[in-house]
Amino acid sequence: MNAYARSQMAYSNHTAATRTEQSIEYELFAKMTSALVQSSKSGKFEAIAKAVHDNRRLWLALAADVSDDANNLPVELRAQVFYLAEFTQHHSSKVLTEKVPVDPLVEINRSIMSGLFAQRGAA
Amino acid sequence: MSSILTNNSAMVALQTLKSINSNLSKTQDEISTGKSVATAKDNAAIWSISKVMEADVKGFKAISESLSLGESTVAVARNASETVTDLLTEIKGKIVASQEENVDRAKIQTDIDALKEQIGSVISAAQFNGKNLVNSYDQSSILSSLDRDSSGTVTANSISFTGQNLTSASGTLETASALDRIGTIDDAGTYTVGNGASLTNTANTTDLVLANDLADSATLNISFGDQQFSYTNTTGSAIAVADLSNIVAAGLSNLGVEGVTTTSDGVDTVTIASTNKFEAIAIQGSSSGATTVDVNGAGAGVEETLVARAETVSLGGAGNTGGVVNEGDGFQIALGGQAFNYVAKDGDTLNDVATGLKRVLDAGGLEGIEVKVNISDDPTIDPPTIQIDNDGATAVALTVDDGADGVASGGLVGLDGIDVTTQEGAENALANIESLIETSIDAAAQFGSVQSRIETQSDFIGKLTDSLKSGIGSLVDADMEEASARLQALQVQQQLGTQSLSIANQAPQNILALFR
Repeated sequence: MNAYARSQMAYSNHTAATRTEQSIEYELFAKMTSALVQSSKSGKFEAIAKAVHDNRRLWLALAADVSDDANNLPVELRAQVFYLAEFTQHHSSKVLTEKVPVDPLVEINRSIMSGLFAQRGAA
Repeated sequence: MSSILTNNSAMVALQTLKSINSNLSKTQDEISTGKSVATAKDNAAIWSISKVMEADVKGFKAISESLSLGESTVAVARNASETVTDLLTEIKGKIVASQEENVDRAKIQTDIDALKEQIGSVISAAQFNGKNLVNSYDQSSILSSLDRDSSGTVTANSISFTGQNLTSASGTLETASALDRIGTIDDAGTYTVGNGASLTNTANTTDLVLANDLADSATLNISFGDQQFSYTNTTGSAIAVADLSNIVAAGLSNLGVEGVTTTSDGVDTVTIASTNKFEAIAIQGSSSGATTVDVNGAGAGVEETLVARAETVSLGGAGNTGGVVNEGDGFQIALGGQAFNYVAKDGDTLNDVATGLKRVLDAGGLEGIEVKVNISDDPTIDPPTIQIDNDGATAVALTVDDGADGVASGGLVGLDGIDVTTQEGAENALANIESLIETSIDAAAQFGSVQSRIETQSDFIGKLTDSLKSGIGSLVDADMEEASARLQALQVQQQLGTQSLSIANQAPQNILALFR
């Protein structure tokens, strides 16, 4: 990475920092979900595997966050997010081995996005 | 807050799903989170890890991400191998169609070329995160667990496997260090390391020398390959050797053995000439009287073999210690100065080497050259041989060479040369496509087994997950049904009222890392 690219990145980080936490999450979910949908439409296995992997990383990050004691979400909600992370891992494996559709992953992501969007409007 | 999504019946359904948790929490009691140290002795490794979990969840993340990455990479490779197998099977269908003479071979070849190209693009596209497992034999490993012993030492365990090269790359042969495992066998059956020969289209000959007249009522027998020539003297007087040689020559001709001509010199000798490419003929004579048959000067009544015209290359001999083939062992057959190499990969046997050499020789498309492989049932004792025949007008020089420490040939070496535009090419292609399909099936099977090993490893992740869950304090059901996942998702959607998902904790914002 050269100095030019670095300076560019510095600016982009700055922009990211001014976003609300919810919008960052919403954007990430939007990115992952659209990748899932697009790759599934294209039917290219390499693309599907990539989208599924990226989506898994997002849910792993969430699972790690909500299992942290310092997390302020209600315990019930943390447990549910963790469950969804588990389901995502489980279903992703099935997509990779049995080539089942990614639809449930997309649907779950969309539910989360709806939740985030509703409350982003309120903020 | 009242909603159709949080109504009573949904709550009841969720409660039912949660009822399994009594078992689950029992498991969690057993897996110490550091507070109930008493159970640590039951499973020190897990206890240690759950102890680590108290401080951070990096282990969980690292292993989960590693397994996820590994699973995806292997899945892509397996998918590519399966696609290649399908495409090769399609090519096989075309090759079968080309066996008939009354077909448009050029058109079929065009289809085959298109399929070959498709295989190439499948292989080059089969990369995940920059890693392609189907274009080299490189070792890969996936972090699969972290084990702590009682002294606190952490050992990283990983799942290791080799890639499967499905390219048609020829590999690199290093001839600097001779293996002395490839040599030629001359007509007398003598094996010579690294020796050459001249391939000509001339017939191999042998002489039958008759001695003593055939007495009346005596019978002369000559076994000729799997045929038998028998002649009984019913003339009432002895037949002179000179006449007998004419009778034998005519009789052997009448047996109709393909590629064989017999001539008599009208004195006492019958000359047999064979242009059979790959079949040797055993000859032995005997009689009930005083007449003797000496084949090839070996002595009266001794069986001799009229060897096939093709030259034989053997993958055994002096340096063949137990038929061992190591990765990087290269074998070369050069015809008329043009070299054809096969460099072994890990796990190859001498049979694989022989099959591979045939594929590259056939792919060379040399005029008049025909190759036959004699696979050995047990290549460690009885090495396989390769017979090379030249039906062209000019002699072709044959030399062989070998050496260790090369770069292995691609699994589909020889695929590029598949050419069904000639009858000979179509026949060769049919023989070779089987071994190519076998290679890609083996590759797919290997990736499949690695993938299931990774899945098995999720057992370990399951234990980590349990310890994290107990950290959360409340448990949701672990029934991984789509329906219940959807319900949970809707519940989460409802509850995302005031908080963002993850960033409510004071810890550094984990999720931002995903934007990098």
